[in-house]
Amino acid sequence: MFSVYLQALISGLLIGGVFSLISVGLTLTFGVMKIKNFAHGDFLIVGMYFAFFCYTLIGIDPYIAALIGVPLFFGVGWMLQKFLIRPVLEAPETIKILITVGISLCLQNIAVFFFSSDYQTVQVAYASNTIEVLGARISLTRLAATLLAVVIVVGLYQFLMRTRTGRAIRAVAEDGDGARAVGINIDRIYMTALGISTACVCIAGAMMTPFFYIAPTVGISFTLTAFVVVVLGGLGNLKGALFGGFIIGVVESFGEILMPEAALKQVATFTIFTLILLFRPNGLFGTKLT
Amino acid sequence: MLRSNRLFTMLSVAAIGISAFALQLGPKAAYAADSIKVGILLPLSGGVAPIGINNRRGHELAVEEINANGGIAALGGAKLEMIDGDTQGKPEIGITELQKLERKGVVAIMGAYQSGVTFPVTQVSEKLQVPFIDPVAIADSITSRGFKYLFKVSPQASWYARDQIRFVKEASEKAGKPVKSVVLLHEDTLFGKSTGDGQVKAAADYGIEVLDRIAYPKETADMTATLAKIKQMNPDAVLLVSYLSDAVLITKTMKELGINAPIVGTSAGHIDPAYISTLGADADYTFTVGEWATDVKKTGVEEIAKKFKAKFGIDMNGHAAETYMSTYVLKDALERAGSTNRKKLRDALAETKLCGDKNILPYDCIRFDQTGQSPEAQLIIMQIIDGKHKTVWPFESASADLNWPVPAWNAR
Repeated sequence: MFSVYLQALISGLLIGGVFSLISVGLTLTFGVMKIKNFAHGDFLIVGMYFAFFCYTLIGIDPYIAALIGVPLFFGVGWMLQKFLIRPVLEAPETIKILITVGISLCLQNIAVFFFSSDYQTVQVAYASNTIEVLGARISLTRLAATLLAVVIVVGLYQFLMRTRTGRAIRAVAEDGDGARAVGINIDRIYMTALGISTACVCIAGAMMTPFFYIAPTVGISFTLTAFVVVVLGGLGNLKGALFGGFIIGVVESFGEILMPEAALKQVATFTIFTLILLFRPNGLFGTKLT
Repeated sequence: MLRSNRLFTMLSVAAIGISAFALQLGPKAAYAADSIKVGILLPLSGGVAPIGINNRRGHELAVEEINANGGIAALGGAKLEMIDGDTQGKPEIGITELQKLERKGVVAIMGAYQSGVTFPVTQVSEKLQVPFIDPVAIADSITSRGFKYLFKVSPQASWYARDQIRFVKEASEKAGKPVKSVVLLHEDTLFGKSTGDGQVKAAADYGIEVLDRIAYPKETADMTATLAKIKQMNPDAVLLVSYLSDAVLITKTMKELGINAPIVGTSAGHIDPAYISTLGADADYTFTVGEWATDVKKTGVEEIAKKFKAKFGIDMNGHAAETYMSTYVLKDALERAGSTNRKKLRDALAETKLCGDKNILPYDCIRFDQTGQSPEAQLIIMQIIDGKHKTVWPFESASADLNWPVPAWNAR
């Protein structure tokens, strides 16, 4: 039974890294713009289909596609902010939610229209390679995704701490009016923030393609998970998103084998979620960005 | 003047009425003498219309064949004429349409694809004493009411699980390594749960131990922990009830974890062509339950499948095969009854015995027991071999040799 628990721990950590990378983008948009982006998970498919077409049309490996796609992913977020989110930033909360839900539906249906609702996969030769540790197997593609996720989150953290733009983003997150008063171009910071946020989730999508399937509706369940992670870690807190992702990954994984029915694994997740919020209403790491 | 005017009006109204009546009666009366009306009650519009329309194709092909071969000989070569009723997939509309068909004078009605529609409409056909043939709807409850005018060609819903277990037992015994234990893994909606119940019961009937029964939510990002637990239990086979995305994820994870037990699916996700296109070579050796396939080895199947494809441009599937055969069940009963009287037709249907070469479905005889169920009806098992679904069971209808046990993942 030891190897089953070890396997549960490992696979929880591996999927947790993916949850982290997706959640980091969500928490950043919330921290900086106070927007709850319900379309966030749906941007997974932008990265997924990009990687899929890179692989099937020109034979580019998904990991390389994830890298070369970054300017495109960033641009998608930038444009989204410029043309769709900015006009409603001052609008009531419900309007902001409706526009992101609308974007979510649009993305899914555009994908259905152009790529059909059929499932696709990127069938790379190394997709199912594993290494064995104490009777448990570590999927190399999942390991790569998790390690890259950690690297990206750490890199993003450094960017926010050390660069001028990073400091500006933090300033806007902390006090928008104050930031404006000292001459920070808030519009630009918003576009940068949503660009980074979208790039994170798209990279996650591209890196998932070797071990997951691609379909227009895959984002929905990840949006929900990302919200749980973000609230758990602290709304708008980067570290919270990173650790929250791993916590949810591991809890779900153990929930699968320890709950009386695997279908009840989300009960485990939400029990932990409720308990943490009960004792730390602002999430594990508070609501400051860094 | 006024008076004669009124008389004139009355006369002309009467004249128009009579001539309209004559017009309506004339051609119809002449028509009825040489055609036999058959009611086809299917969802032809609405969400499930594509399936209803495909069901109708089986009837259409059979009717065309029967008419081309001289119609119903016992009735002076009378031709069959299909009269459509559109249920729109809704029980209440199905009932209204069935009553309309009855008033139009059909000898019998076939339909209605969905169990949820077939169950209530047969309540009405029974009351009206119209013979009703159910080619496709599977719910066990349909034949549980002791009806006299109901004839169900399709297998029972619970037989999917029964035949899956029978197959696992027979296939493994044939390979000389009888299966002792299985794990059941199914998605957690009604479809998965009710099939799972059937599997548990069937496994008990056939003496196979169920090591564990696991329900999972189908929209899930990862199932590694669940499958690691299954690996630990080391079952002789894994029996699944899955939709497409979960089926794909489970197969991929089984490969990663090196779980070499055969995967036996229950139609749905595992029979979907996208399962093969999504997984590529990893889809090979997966088993699934199916209703019928164009490679079933029985006389006539190949020719009929070819005719179907030529006429409609798509492959014939299990539903179309069932509606096709149901039409022949009706034809056979009409010949034996020698009458379009519904009561006589019902008695002839109850004596149905369409066997061997006359039946393209994967079993010997179509006949009906006391409840109206076709007792020999059964499912087939297909295995994916070189990227194609091939019929491997029942053995006498198989088009390819069975691979059991399946090769280990690292030996493929």
